[in-house]
Amino acid sequence: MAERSPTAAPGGPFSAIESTTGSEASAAREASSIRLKGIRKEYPGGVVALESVDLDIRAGEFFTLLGPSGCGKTTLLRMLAGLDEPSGGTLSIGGVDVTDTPPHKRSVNTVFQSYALFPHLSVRDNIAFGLKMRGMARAEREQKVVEIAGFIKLGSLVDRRVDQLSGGQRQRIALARALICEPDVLLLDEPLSALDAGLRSQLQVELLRTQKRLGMTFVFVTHDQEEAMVMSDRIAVLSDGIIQQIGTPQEVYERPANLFVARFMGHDNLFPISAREGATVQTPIGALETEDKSEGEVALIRPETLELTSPGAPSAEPGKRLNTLMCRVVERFYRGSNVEYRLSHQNGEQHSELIAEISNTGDRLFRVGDEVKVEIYPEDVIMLSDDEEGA
Amino acid sequence: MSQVDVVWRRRRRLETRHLLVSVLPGALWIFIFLVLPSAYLMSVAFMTNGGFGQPQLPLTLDAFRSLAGFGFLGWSPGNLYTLWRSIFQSVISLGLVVLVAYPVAWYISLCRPRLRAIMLLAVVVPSWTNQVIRAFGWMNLLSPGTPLSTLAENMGLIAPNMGLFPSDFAVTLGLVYNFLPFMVLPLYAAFEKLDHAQIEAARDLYASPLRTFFVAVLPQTLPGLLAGSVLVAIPAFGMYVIPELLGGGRSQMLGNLVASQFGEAANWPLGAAGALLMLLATLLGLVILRRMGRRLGGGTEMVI
Repeated sequence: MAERSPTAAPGGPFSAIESTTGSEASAAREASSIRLKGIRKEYPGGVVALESVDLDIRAGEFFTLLGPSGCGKTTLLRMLAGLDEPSGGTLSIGGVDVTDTPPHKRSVNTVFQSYALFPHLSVRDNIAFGLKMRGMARAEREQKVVEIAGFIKLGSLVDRRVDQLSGGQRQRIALARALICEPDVLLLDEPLSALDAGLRSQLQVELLRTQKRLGMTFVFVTHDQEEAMVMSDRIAVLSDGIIQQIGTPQEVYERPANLFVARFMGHDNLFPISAREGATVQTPIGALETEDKSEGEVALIRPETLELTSPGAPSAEPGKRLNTLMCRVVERFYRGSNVEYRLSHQNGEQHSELIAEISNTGDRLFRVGDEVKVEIYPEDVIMLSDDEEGA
Repeated sequence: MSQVDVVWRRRRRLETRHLLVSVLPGALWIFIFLVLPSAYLMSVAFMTNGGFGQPQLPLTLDAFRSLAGFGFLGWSPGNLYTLWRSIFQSVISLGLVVLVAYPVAWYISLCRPRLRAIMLLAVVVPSWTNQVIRAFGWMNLLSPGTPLSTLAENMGLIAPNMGLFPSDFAVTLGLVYNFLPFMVLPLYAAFEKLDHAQIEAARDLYASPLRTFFVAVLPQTLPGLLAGSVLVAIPAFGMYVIPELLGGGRSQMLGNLVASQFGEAANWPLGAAGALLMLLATLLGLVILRRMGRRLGGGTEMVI
């Protein structure tokens, strides 16, 4: 994203005429990095919502705050908007300290979870609201509304009343209302959580494309790890008011920092380690070879890294020492592009369950009750510490 | 005709009969005790006043003429003053009630749930006492020589030894006090449903705290405000007890005029004409409020 979107024009980033305003764009991007230092939030009564959060969000980044409800992600977002005051720490946007700046003086706009459109105003007036508050002349506002309506493809929606809109339409109006102000940072508080699955994935794509075209910094809050992975440049996983891990979706999914992150990212193949000797760890499914040299109390094996073959078949990679287990198929979930097998493994007295996700390449599928040979590459056995940050 | 049609027809006939039976008592009640007396009252307004105060034929517009101030001795503005005072008092007290009730209702809605119930009770309980008794209470507080009157005297607000009661001021105060709960309750209901996200959205979209109030708080509480206005302004306009007791005969309102014509002045046609005027003025007020509600509410019905 070195260049601003090719659709940018002198009239604003939403108009359709082409132009190159690279220097202006990079200046704008400078203004939109975020730095949080030691941000705390403590409510009266001693409830701590956030515990000393340090966070750097880069300009032009799609950054996601991910975590279960009550983890403090929404509080953090509200602080960026200025709707909540931190109990301690500093917050700067574009290098300027805005810790004590009231919300109406911050160049930050929010798409609220409930959308919070003004029901007594027309859709048009809703969209133009921020511009009006900033004192923009009527004619110019109307022009901007036309531009943004074209940009987000609102079509005839702008002529409707708010109560005539569906959930997805409201979401887009709320987005238009925030984007039209051309803020340094756009905040999105679970904007898709109230929508059904189909519409949701469609709007995910739209939102992502919008962000890439504008090169605007987006801070997105969600509790849905798949949504976070699809959308984000980087993700911060929060739990109990503490950041557990910051990284790209790939880092967070493939190398979770601890057991909490692993569980939250949807990993099930987690096996406590009872002993370790060199590259060999003892787990309930037997001794496993690992290439991970880090300390850890739990072994993680991602379901898509398992190789499944018939018991007599040759190794997936002859000449390499793979971990090999014999399992029985307990359940099979056919998902089209891939197949999920629930496997049971008996290691003496120890009974364990494994989950394998095999991409559907058209090979013969295993049936429930089949005996299968499971092979695990040593580099796919990952060590996790079981204590989360701050716990 | 099919079997089903026959069944349906019988069923509909039965339903019609049920409906008639259930609605009839209420309809009769309203007809006998509301429609007929109102029609009689209206007809009285067009009759002549007899020598012994009895309404009689022929039908004339005499009552309206004397209501407008034309009497034996030529024109006098007394009745117009009374009409003006009614309008003035109800509008002023409505304004004051809103000024007091709005922050009170807002504050109550922000309290803890248990405290809310107690505070609402505190607002409502005084109105369980008889209006007359409460008016007497105010007399005791405002008459000459009481601390409040002395204070007002010392501040030079009133002439010496006059007291705050009886006066127009006492009437306004009485009206505000009397109608406060009728404004607090609908406003509280509106504040309880307040969508705080809208307030935050306005703040987020560069609205100052004051503009946020006008764009995100006031429109949301407008239905409560208008409903409260109807509940306050209309009874205040026709109020009889408070001006009678706290005005001391000097601050007559339309209700007092009507009452005296049916009582000691013994001019029923004039009283009926006054009542008719009151009814028309009330309807006009309602139409105005309704228009306002529709305009401010973006086309949706807000009042009645």
